[in-house]
Amino acid sequence: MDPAIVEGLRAIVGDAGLATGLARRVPYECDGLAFARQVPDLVLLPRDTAETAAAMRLLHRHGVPVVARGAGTGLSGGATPVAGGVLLSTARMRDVLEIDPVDRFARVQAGVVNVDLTHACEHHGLFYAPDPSSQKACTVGGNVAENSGGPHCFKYGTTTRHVLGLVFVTAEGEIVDLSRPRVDPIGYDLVGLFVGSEGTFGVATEITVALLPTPPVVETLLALFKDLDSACDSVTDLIAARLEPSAIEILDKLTIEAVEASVLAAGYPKDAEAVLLIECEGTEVEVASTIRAIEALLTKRGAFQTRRARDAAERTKLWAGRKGAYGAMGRVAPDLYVTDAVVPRTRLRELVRATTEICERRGLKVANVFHAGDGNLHPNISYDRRDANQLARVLDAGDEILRVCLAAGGSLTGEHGVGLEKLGAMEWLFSRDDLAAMCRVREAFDPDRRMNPGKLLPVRACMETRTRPPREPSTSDLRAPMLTGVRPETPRDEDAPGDDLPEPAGGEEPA
Amino acid sequence: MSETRDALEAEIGARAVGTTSIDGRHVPVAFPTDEAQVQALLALAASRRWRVLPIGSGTKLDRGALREKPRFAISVRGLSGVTSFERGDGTITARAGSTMAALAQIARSSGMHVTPDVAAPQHATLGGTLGAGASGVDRLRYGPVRHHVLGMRVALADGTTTRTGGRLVKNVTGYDLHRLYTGSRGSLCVILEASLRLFPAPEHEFVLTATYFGRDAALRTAATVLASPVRPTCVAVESAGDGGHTLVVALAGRREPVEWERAHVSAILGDPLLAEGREARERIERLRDAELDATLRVGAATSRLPRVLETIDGRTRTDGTRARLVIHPGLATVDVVLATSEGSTSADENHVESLARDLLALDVEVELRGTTPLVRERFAASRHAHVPARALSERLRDALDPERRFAGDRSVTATTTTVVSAPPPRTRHPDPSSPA
Repeated sequence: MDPAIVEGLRAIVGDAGLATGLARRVPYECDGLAFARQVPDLVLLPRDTAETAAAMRLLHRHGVPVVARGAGTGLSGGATPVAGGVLLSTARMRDVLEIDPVDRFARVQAGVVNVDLTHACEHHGLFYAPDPSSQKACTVGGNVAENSGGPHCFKYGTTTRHVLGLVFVTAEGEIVDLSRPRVDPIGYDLVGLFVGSEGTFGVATEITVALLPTPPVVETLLALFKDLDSACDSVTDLIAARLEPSAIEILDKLTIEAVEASVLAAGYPKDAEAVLLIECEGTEVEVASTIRAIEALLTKRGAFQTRRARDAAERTKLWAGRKGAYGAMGRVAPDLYVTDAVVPRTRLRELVRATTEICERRGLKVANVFHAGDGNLHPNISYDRRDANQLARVLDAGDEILRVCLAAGGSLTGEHGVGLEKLGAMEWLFSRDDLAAMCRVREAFDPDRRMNPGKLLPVRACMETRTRPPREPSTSDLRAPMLTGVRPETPRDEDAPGDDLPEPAGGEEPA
Repeated sequence: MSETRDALEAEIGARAVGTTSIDGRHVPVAFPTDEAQVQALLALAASRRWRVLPIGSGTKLDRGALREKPRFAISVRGLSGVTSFERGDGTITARAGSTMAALAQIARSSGMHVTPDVAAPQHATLGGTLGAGASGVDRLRYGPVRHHVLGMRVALADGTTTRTGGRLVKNVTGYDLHRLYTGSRGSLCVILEASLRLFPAPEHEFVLTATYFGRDAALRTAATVLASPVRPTCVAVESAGDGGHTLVVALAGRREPVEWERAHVSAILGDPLLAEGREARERIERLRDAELDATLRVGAATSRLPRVLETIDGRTRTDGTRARLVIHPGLATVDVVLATSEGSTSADENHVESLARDLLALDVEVELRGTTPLVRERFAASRHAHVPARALSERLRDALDPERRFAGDRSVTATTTTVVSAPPPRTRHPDPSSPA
């Protein structure tokens, strides 16, 4: 990184707002997609919108690519700085700026951790609905970028339904203030468009979100099945019966075993091949009647046992097990590839079977823990990334899973985003014209495509809409660089300690 | 007009071309019946450098103001029919000219509910509803329409047809361009087809009404209902004449929970009138269609609602006008029907404009409905200052329609000023003439 740029940034964010030494940059080399790595040239940690805008203006003048990052819990490589440049972390933007219990909204800085937002407003009898499994670590800004979901988005919808306003900074350093909550957008729905744009439109620095009243009664139900097929069919039947719980999750046997062997042991029965974890919220009468109807349906569908959480402590434990399942899978293998696809809810059984078969055919171990109520599959493939052959089989299986889901009327991602991982697959789903329209919109925000380059839209899809060559590296075949060009984990010469500017004191640690 | 009409007839046949009134001008309107015809019409517009206005049935053309005069309109009314109805998956995909009533009927026959429940659903098309970003009377329960659009197919100005989103209830693949198109008011594309999320149809509906002698009493009771655990479909306070205000609470759902809600709300309201079944549905439809009479709609945060009401009271006192209000406290919106005097059904355009400007000064959302194109045009220019991120919006428009082929609504982005010189009488439900 040009020392003049570094000094210019230091003048804006101070010593604490920069991470220049390799040791402090390495933690930012990847997100949850661990096999794709690239150490950023510089890590920038601004404290607010003004610092972000000033830094972005400077970086714009020098044409430096920028990748925004929340907590790095994403699973699609969205925060991996594949083109190098500056990684802008929101780790120092952690203030809850405003909670309005009357109009039921909160305004927060982008780096506020998801679960902290709910903690901050629960004494008003309010909560923030999107609850990704990583909610104890992931940030609201990251949730906005990915349009994150979570188990309870079955009832409440993904992040986009809860974002009322935004402040974001464009690639050129322009501050766009859409923070005022509106009944309906005045003009275009820029907020709705921005959510889920995976950091390619700009850096969200402040977010205004809707808060919901805490439901008076919550009931959690665990249903045990002797086979995964019956659990899947039960979910299809629940949807068809128009019952409305707030979450419908499936965990299979391998997941149960991993969770029960971990510190997150939730009391899931090991003799079940699959469990359904269902939650109902509402008035006492509403919850009681819904749970009764669900229990009857599940029993008819082959559940050999249904039981309700006895109290809040048991409910918390059941959910901790579910949300900690990815971590627990670390007992199975050192790495986990969390596939994410959505399918019609009428075809859960055949597609879960198909994904299992695809993995087994390649000698891979797969566990299923997923948002069944939304048709959002997560076949989790355990592997060791140091084994190149195994990694190749994992990626191959991932591709086939996506193709099978697409052929069944599904889509590439339900909540993890396209990121780096599914870049090439965008052309399987969308036509050249579809992608060209997206490219044009992207370039309205960021004409040089310096924001999170190499993500979401394949470069060649955008070539028709631009005359100058892109600044990012060629990603014409994403799988090839993923497999062969995964950045080395040992320092390159230019990354060697000592080549950097002096290490500032007191810098923030990564999120 | 003759030249335009001749050209349209040459493209899609004389039987598919009619005339409609837009902002007081007669404008040829084409009724294509397939996407190839839409593309041919857009190609015609491009070759002649004509501006086009995409419309549905024209039920919402009296909202906002056109930024440029269209040479002709493309009505999607001829593009009707359900493409896919996945009851088990809770989704419906239909061509843009399908009426909201037709979609609701198809869904209801399988125990599902389509939101938005918009006014004049027998005329309102899916494409027009989404283009206008119009939510319905059921918004309190289900949320705004933009939350339930799963995907779209559209024709861009150059005739390219593109797709965004999909037909799945959960999907984050690619940009949500359908969020951009929803509410874009004809300024970006012709909506060809859209997919909506469905909800379980209620097994039972109740409407409870109680009349109060003061508006504050009605609003206080409404606030109590809204703070309770019930999930109403709609809560509204209507002016009832002689200082009376009627609180309307609509409940819907599965029988057992909704019976409990009925009892709970009855206890709050005291001794309400109760309608159920068909009677309840008719009451909801009356409330829903009342918005067609509104002169303007105001949207604000709940905490600003008292200030909005004070402003309306103050302005009507000053001007000697009368305002009949339908207040939706749970949404913080107010529909205002302004009249010059007792028994009158319309207000002087200056009074409407004065009230709209007073409200705009509160930095709340104001949309004029009806009135004259001249007033709407002037007001759009004032409102323009309140449109956030105008430059970005213009860049987006340039990205998708670089030649500004679509006339669109200037309240969406707006930079140019077009003054309509001859204000015509207000037309409440402009309905394009049927194809010959």
